[in-house]
Amino acid sequence: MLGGTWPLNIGQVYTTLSRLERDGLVESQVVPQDLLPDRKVYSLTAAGGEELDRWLAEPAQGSIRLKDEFFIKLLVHQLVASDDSLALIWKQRQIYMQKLARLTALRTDPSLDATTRLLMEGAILHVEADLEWLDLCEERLGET
Amino acid sequence: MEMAIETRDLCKTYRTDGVAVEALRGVDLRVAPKEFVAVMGPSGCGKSTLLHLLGGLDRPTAGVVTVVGRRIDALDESARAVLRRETVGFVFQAYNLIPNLTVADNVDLPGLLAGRPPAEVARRREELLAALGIAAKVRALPGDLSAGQRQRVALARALVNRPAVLLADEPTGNLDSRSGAEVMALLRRFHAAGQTILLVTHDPQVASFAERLIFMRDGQLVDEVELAAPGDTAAVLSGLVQLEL
Repeated sequence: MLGGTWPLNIGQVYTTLSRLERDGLVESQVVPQDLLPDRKVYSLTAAGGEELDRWLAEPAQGSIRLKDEFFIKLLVHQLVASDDSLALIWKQRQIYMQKLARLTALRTDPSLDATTRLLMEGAILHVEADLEWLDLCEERLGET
Repeated sequence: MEMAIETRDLCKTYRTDGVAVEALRGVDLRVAPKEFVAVMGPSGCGKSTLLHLLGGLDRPTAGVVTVVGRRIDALDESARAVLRRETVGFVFQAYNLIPNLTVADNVDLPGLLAGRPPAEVARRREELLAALGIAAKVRALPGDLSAGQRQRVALARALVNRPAVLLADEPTGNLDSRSGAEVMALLRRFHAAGQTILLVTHDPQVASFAERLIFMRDGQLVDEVELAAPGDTAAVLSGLVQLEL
């Protein structure tokens, strides 16, 4: 469903399913098999269906990523270092550009499915925003 | 090794109304044959001026420009015109196609002006239009083409004389993001086939297609970074999910 972009942890899947069952959102049925261990088949309950509809209808709040490691470095650097922080910004820009190069190169990979491609586009926009923000940091630094 | 492009202490000062503006302040640039280099910087940093000097569109105030082993900084206008026809190819943000000439005639023109046999020029044009995916448009006029198709025609025209260096100034500036990415993918294909490319842009996404990136500020080259070949798709993807989710 997620185009293989989101590796699942099997343990996490079972923990989640048992919590959903505890809350009455899914139910399970044991199906015996001849040569293999019994299979447990989960299905949605009516309450589970309602919860799913509610979740789908509700917009996500969206995460605004402000706990940025680079930003912490920049702040601390301005506190403890004697030189300006330009070199820090330039090194960070190199890293973001390398990241962007990998993403733009892979975006044209014909083996990508539509879901993965969409995720790539999102990642590209995020890196572009990070780069623009670095430009802003550099500009502000020049003003002081 | 002989460089495709080499500059030493390149300076360009414009004078307007008695005010001197230093567009380039001592640029030392080396581009090896078959390299794909992007020069990136904000508008006004001097990147277009640099490209114009490398292509012989203008002369420097001071310093040396060498293109495939030949000094061009002191050439007069007619010698520079020959250089522009035979050694470099240009792609700009504006396509600069001649509106009443067909695609074929637009592409052929620089080849014929360079004195090449028409049959050879036509062969080269067919090869280029096919590689650019616009072979079917050969009899069309520029006005009948989409923006992306016009830029492909401009690219074919720039490459018809097999220039030692392709110079590109914001080549996707007039294109939507999809046709822009397609044009960049085409540039990368020509590069893979051995074409030396120097590109100037303010757009990180466009610059990210190069193999080496040089940053420019206030008329000087201030930093550079190698953009490594993309790694394994799966590795990049798993990194993405850790990064974004």
